[in-house]
Amino acid sequence: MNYAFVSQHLGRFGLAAILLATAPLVAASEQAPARDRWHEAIGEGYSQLATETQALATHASNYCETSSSESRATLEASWLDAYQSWQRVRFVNFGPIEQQSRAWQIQFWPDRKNLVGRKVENWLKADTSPSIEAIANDSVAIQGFPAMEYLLFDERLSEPGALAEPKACDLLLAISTHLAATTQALQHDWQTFGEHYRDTQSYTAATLEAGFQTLDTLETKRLAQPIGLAGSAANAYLAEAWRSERSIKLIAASLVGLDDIFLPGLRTLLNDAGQQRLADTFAEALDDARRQANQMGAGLAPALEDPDAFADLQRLYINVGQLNRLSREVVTALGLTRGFNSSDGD
Amino acid sequence: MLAPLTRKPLYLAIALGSLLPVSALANTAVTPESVVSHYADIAHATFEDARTSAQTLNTRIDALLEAPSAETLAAARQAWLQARVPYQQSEVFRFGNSVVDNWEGQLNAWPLDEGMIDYVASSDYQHELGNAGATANIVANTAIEIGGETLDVSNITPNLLADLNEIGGSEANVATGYHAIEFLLWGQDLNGFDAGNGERPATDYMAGEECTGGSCERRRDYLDAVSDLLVYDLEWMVAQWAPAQEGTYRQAFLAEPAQEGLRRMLFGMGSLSLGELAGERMKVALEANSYEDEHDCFSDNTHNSHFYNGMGVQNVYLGEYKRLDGSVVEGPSLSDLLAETDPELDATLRNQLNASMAELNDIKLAAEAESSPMAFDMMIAPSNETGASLINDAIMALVIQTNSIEQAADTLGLTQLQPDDAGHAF
Repeated sequence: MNYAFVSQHLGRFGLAAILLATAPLVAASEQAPARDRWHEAIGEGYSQLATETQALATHASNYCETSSSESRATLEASWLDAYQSWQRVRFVNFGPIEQQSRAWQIQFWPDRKNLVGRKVENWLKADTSPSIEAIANDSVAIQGFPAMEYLLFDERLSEPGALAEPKACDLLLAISTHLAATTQALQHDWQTFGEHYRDTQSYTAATLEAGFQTLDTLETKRLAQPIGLAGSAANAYLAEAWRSERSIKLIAASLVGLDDIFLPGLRTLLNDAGQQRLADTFAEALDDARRQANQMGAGLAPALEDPDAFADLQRLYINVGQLNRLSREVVTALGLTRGFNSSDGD
Repeated sequence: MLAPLTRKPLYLAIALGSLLPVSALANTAVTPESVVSHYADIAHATFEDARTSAQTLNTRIDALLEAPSAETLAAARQAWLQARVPYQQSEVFRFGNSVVDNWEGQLNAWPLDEGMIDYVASSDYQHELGNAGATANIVANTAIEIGGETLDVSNITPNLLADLNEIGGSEANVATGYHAIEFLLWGQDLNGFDAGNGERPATDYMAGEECTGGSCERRRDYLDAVSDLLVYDLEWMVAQWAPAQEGTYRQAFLAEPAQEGLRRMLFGMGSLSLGELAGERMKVALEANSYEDEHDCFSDNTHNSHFYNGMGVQNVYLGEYKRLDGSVVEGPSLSDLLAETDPELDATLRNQLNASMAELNDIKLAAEAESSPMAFDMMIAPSNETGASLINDAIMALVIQTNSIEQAADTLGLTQLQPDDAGHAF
């Protein structure tokens, strides 16, 4: 039984329409406003990601020049801001994000066998510092936020000044510059993709599937597995951002993204289908989950040791589960059926 | 319905009684019922071949243990490679048929933290983070500690290994199946992205002073037990698909409406094509340049595992299976059924299945080339453009055929491809 690597990586293999609308209760002409809303909101999300990733590259450069504790703190905060802005749009698994495995370039996860750590260590031990091109040609595991997290937070670099060493800083700069270029291209390509997205009916279903699959991943992979509610013992290494203990911060940002970017288009569709009440119920549940995540601590691992924090974690898990159940009602209410997705492997 | 299956002591539950031979040529009219029934015949024949080839493997392993030598080890390895041919074709039956999916973890679980089984080179061993069993080394220890619990593993039996599989809830704690046997026959592949596979010496199975790697007696017991278990498990699955038997999965399966059978067939084809083969087994390894994500990583037989996975998908669609003895099982097929309503889509899908097999064959040819062979773990090396393009072409062909499989489901009136009990949250 292999682990569901692909679904966890949000892999997608070019199937635009995952949900097949066989008997749409919403007429095709009424779906266009939803896609208009989504296109604009996702575009804003990508724009923010590009801006914050550029700022991250700048802050990395500042740190490498000064190696002051202030610039280090700014760099770490900037890394989290940019990583969270990625979480907000991470549910989008179609369109330009599919090119060159960009989703994996930005965040390679899960990483059960510590590929990120090994790829970073390979460069730290190499004779020469990597060029941006070398990073671009290397594994997706070296290209994204998790690789930067290793440099910023892994105990291997916990000695004061370890990151300021030329080799580590050169790697930090190469990764952050490459990442900024990736998100810049993503933002640009999303605008180019706009007309096709708005004009293609199957993207309504694809967008719905993307949002709902994100909820499923939140419940089963990002929460149940690390906290030990998926049939095996708790294992904090299965959580995202375990090195920095920011797992819950990332989950909170995903919920914010679903609320701000995904929900408006969904509400448009449900309203047009005469399902205002279901739309309200879904929105309330999303709000509950979002508030719950926001009032929790940043990391997941500490909560495994603390009964009160663990109760909060369980509450969040239940909130997200409720959202998943509602998403199934939405699928039915909109007359959609399922096809394959890349998580049907195991 | 069948009673829920208990997974651990599968071999205790082998149905007794002789198995009827599959009638090769079913000359019946094409109906959903005949197509589904023939699918069960193909499943039965495929699992029979998997069992037969596993029996050969077991016999060769007994010969290796009887007289360990480079020759007897090579013969056992050859039998393992042959056993993969039908088994990989059987994987298309996993998805959609819970009887197979719930059972296969004991046979083909992957990737594994092989340090749970035997010695590894610590410098070249990356196990799953947080996995307490990853360095347990059952061969070297009569008691192991996993998750604060001490387990007595002094007596290595098929039953013990079945109990240890995925212990501690970690899917990386693979104690049984093809890949455990593969590790015991080949050993770790320490060559990274370079040419070469595992190089375990036959002396790892020698008794007395000639023993290498330590604990040869226990390693012998392990290999003996794990190969016995594989045969037991496959016998159990053959019985589940045997015709004219009461209480089998086949009986329950055929009692369902034929549309449900068709749905499981197409679901299996699509899931193996897209999520499993194109995704987990190729794209992840390629994009991450990760040989830890290579399927048959000890033997470097990955190209064949992929090739025969693809063939399994094609078998189900065409209603054809070429057996190890060369005979062909054929009969009413999905292709025939689809051609009645949409001959164009049928032709498209047949072409696409041929195309993906051609791409998978390109990978196989490159890996088996006489001069400068490029194994899968070399193809996924950073900056290997030739290798990446071989793999990407196969991925793309599988993606394209999955699209047509979805259309075929739609044309046949199968609106919900998802099985009721798959546990996916949709």
